[in-house]
Amino acid sequence: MKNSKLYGGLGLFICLLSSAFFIFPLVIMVVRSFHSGGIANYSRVFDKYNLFVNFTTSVIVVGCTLAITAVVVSFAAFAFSKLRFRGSRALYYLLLSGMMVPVAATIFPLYQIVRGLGLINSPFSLIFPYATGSCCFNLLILKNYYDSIPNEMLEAANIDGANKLRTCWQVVMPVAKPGLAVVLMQTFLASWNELQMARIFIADTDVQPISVVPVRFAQTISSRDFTQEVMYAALVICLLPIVIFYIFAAKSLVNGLTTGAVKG
Amino acid sequence: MRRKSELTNYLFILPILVLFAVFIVYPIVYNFIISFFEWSGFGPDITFVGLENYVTILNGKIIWKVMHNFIIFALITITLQALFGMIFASFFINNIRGSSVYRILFYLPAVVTPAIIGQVFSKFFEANRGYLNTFLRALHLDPLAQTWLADPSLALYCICFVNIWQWTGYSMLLYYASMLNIPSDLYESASLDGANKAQQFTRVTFPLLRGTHFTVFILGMLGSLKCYDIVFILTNGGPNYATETFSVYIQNLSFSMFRQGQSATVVVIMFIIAMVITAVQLQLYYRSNQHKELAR
Repeated sequence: MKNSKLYGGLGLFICLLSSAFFIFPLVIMVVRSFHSGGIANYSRVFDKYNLFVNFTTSVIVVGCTLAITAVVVSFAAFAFSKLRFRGSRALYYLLLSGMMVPVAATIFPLYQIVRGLGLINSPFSLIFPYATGSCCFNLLILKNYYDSIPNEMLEAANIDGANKLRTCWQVVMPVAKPGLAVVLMQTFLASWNELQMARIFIADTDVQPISVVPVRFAQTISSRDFTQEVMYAALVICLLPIVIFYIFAAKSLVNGLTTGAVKG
Repeated sequence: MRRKSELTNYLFILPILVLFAVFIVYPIVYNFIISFFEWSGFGPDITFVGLENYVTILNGKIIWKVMHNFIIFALITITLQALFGMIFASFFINNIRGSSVYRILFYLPAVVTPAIIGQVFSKFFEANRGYLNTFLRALHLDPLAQTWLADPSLALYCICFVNIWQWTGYSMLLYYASMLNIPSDLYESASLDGANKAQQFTRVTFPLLRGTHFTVFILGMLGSLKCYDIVFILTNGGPNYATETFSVYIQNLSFSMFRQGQSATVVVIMFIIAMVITAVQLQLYYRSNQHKELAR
């Protein structure tokens, strides 16, 4: 169906205006980072902070969270979608309710566990809580994806003598790759950006993940060698991995979330 | 034989169940128990106080401020995010030029690190040389220049503004997804009957989006309950608790004031609210599904 000229024009106008609204803070950040000093602002960031350690922490946390989530949620989604066992519906809804639980409701007891295990200031303090959150959050998406895979495929694998584990790993998983990709992209974003737990479990500013580092900038700002412009440069550096990720993954993420939402 | 095979089925969900039990169920039960004790969180000095924490918290003024903020914040953000999300989605469903690019741009705020964007917004709202006030003064609208985040009557609305900036793209995607599901012949027959775009929207699209309205509402309520990152960066609950949320309140009770019993009490109160919301959601979801069956 063709849109009328008026509708098309109005739509375009509103969308252009809204684009400006949605990217203006990022534009401010990038433009200001080059003010009074240009590219030198960026090198001053590295004089002041060794962000390399912070990036390493983030990479360890996110990498391990992704690995655990991928395995755990794949098995769970396979079981809830393709296997029969008593109580499966009740357990499924119980696990889904996990995504309703705010971080604040679990953070102090988790802190006690982390402290008990001597993991304070270690990246490993964050991995399991993050993975648990991701698994509950993404179970729905992946289970829906598995539901769309025809059961005949499993029966064929069964006749060929594959056991359940091999069916899950070698027959269903490869077909479900696009679903798993969306799950992993979401997990990456959530664990890379998480602030609330990261700030408490890794209090040592030298090793804290990138999602917490900007909090520190607010405290050091307006000292002579750390002007507002240098802070913006530092913010741009911190955001860089997300920007690179989004440049490559935006299309599949947005489309994947759209189809995932339909099935949900 | 069948028994054994059913037992091995459980092995597939064993990992997720273990994670769920250790990192979600155990902490909640722990908090529930702690809410009846007085404890700093360190050392063995722990006293059973019965319901005293509940009395203290419910008699204090902060919890009511928190609930008040929660309701205002939820109402404003949910309504506006849903409204804007729907408007954008309907542009995209009608395939206006550049739709796929706009979809990606509008979702961008949802992926950027909250702590980073929080810093930019704190410079944006800053009273003296903040971008917003500079901009208003440049337009000779000086009376409109405010102290924004430092003003108790405005701070919460500033937080709402940032939240809407961040999450409108998400509700846009949800609406867009379910609009894709509406069969196009409905629009064709509506337009044959002489309905224009606006009428098609109010008579066809809007009612058929019922399920999504519920989803957006529930996710918005839970989001408002969880709301932490932006508040922590911009105001940390201030000025004078004007932007205090459940998450900020709990976090400060636990890790600044070391009152674990009271903190756990607030967790329990928040949890009861979350459960009520979830129960309502399941009810509505069930009813809306029935509605869909009938429509078919």
